Amino acid sequence: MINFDSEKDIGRLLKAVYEPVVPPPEVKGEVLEYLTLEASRASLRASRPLWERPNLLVPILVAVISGLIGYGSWLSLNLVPTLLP
Amino acid sequence: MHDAEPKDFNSKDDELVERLKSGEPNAVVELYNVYFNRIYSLVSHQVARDHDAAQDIVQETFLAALKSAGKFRGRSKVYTWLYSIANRKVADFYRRQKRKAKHETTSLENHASEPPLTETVESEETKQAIQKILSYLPLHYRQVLLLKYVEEMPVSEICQVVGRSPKSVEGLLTRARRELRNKLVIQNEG
Repeated sequence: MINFDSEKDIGRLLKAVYEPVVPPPEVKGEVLEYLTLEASRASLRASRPLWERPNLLVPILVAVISGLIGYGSWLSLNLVPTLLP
Repeated sequence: MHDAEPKDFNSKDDELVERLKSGEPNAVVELYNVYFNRIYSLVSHQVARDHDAAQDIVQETFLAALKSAGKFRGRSKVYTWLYSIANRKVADFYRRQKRKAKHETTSLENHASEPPLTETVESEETKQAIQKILSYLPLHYRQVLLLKYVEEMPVSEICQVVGRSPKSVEGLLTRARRELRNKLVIQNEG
């Protein structure tokens, strides 16, 4: 008789109901194929040169240009006045 | 469950994660070979054995693992990490299917015609009746019951999977057991 108050019985009941589900072989193959493709795409993306990776190149360019503008402004404020007669 | 797969992978796991982080494609295949069956089974139970939904969710789980391997700090076991991703994907699946989720919370009156539960759970009829009862439990109740009693995970690991504190998980388990017990008793008396 199932004792609904017993944790042990509840566990036994759940184990009986939730027996391991074996995936169909074709599902295993399809998912593996998809993942292998995605993994090789990811490694390909990682090995591309910098100029072919806009998501990395754009922030780097923005940082460099901002730095140059900032340096130029600093120069014009601090160095140029001292050069003037 | 899945006896062919050893439970303790710790040293192998560390190595595997390092290879995943370095973007080695073979590491994905290895991760997949070791954990696919267990993750598939867990997901399948949560989507009422809908093979298409289970396939999509498992695929999304491994893809997310592949993308976030760099963020995995090794504080939990690899299978706990994968379970936590899978559980979030299952929750996303139900969020996308809100109409179905509404159906889940419908009262037991809908299957009042089910036969009372017999003394054991051996018969297919009884199993199906219990499965139906379980499907009416909220998703987070089913998830913790599965992890605790079917996967035999300790509470400390369930915490990592569901992202809750040990106290919260204990409370959730108590409420889930009570809810299941109440529904089983109602069914048995009906």
